[in-house]
Amino acid sequence: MPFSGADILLDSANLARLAEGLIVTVRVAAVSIVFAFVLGMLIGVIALSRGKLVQIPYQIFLQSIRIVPQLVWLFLFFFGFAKWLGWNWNGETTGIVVFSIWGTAEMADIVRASIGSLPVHQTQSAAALGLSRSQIYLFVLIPQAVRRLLPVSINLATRIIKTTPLLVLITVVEVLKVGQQLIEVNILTNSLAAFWVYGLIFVIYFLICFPVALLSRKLEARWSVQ
Amino acid sequence: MSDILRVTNLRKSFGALRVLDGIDFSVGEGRVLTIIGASGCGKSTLLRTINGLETIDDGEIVFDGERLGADTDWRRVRSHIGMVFQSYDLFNHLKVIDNVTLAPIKVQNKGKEEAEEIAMNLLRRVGLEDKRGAYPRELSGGQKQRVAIARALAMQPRIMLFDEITASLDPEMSQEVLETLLELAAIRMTMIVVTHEMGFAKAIGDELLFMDGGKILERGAPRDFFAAPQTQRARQFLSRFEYRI
Repeated sequence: MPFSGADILLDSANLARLAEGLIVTVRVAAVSIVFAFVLGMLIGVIALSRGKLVQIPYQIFLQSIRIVPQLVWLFLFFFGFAKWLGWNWNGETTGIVVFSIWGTAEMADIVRASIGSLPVHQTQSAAALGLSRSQIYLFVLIPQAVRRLLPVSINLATRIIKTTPLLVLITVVEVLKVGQQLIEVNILTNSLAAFWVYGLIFVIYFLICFPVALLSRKLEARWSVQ
Repeated sequence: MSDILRVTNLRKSFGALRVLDGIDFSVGEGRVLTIIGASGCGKSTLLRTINGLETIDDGEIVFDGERLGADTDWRRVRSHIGMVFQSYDLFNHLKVIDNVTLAPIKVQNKGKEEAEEIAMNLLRRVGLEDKRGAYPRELSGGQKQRVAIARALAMQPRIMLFDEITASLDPEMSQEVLETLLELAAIRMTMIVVTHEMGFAKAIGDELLFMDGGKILERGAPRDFFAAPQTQRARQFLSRFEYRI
């Protein structure tokens, strides 16, 4: 029977559970991405200042986030802070906080680099026209930088989405965990359960990430015409 | 004739390097001042101190009766001083028309319609009215510089500063940009023109400054300067240009 075991996916109760897991995945990723992009924009603009008061804290923030693996941050916030500081956040909140901080650091550096790589004459000629500092950022630098940072920031968004399964390790029941549970329950009666369930999850991740990539390609094409 | 700009004993150093070493000059309303000199003589820095892109160490700049310095509201002053740079510095994400209207709308709070009317008049004057919807990357170097001139003029400045605006253009494109400047001189726009084009310096200016090592070595009518330079340094400088030609 070539399709033996596929009925595990036709069971509406199973699909409903997977959908619940999927909602958790998308919720954590989407909220984190929104925080990361907004805060990253702000911090990235601030990080353009060369002053030590800005650069030292910024580099410590950026490097510590980058050097330590996301899983360690998750454990630190979930187990560590609960023990040391008495913060009893649930797994999903911890995930959103950690992914937001991580995404913010990465996004800030993307923003800083793409604004910093614009020719200095863009700023000077805007200043010479009498535009204020915030107007220069708002109307001259950021619109040009957005076109440069788009591909990398979309890549960051998909990286955040793809890192959400780590949340399994801090008790969050997201789509991958639901899949494992379904496999465990059915494995004795259905030897191909793992194949079908993981196959479906593969398709689900593809369906989340592919439209994001498509959107980025479309925007890039539109702006390159300009 | 009243002076729009008066510079007295201006000094400026970058670290140990003295870039401006006691500069004095003034520009009257409707007059054109040209500044020439070898690269690194301080002429570009001089222009940039006038609209506050560089700070000064000592001396005085008086623009339109107002002494400029650390507590100056540079936004307001810059909106009265137009400046065009050597590099093509149009805002690449904006169409030609939006490049020209950005500052009038955001700085002078003009309505879009009024700003566009002013912009179209200026684009017509620089011969680019048909390019209003084009993006900078679709323009030649000379066209970009003419848009940059229109963009600066759109603020209706009291004085225009030109910093070697033809230095990265080929001769043909230089020609079209320089013709635009000659037209501006003809309508009595007050201008300071830093240039490497000696033929142009001879033709356009009412007064010429020859700078070297942060000082003004010679000043006078362009015709006199080119006919009979007084200093050894100036003769040396001019002979290099003849050699090149």
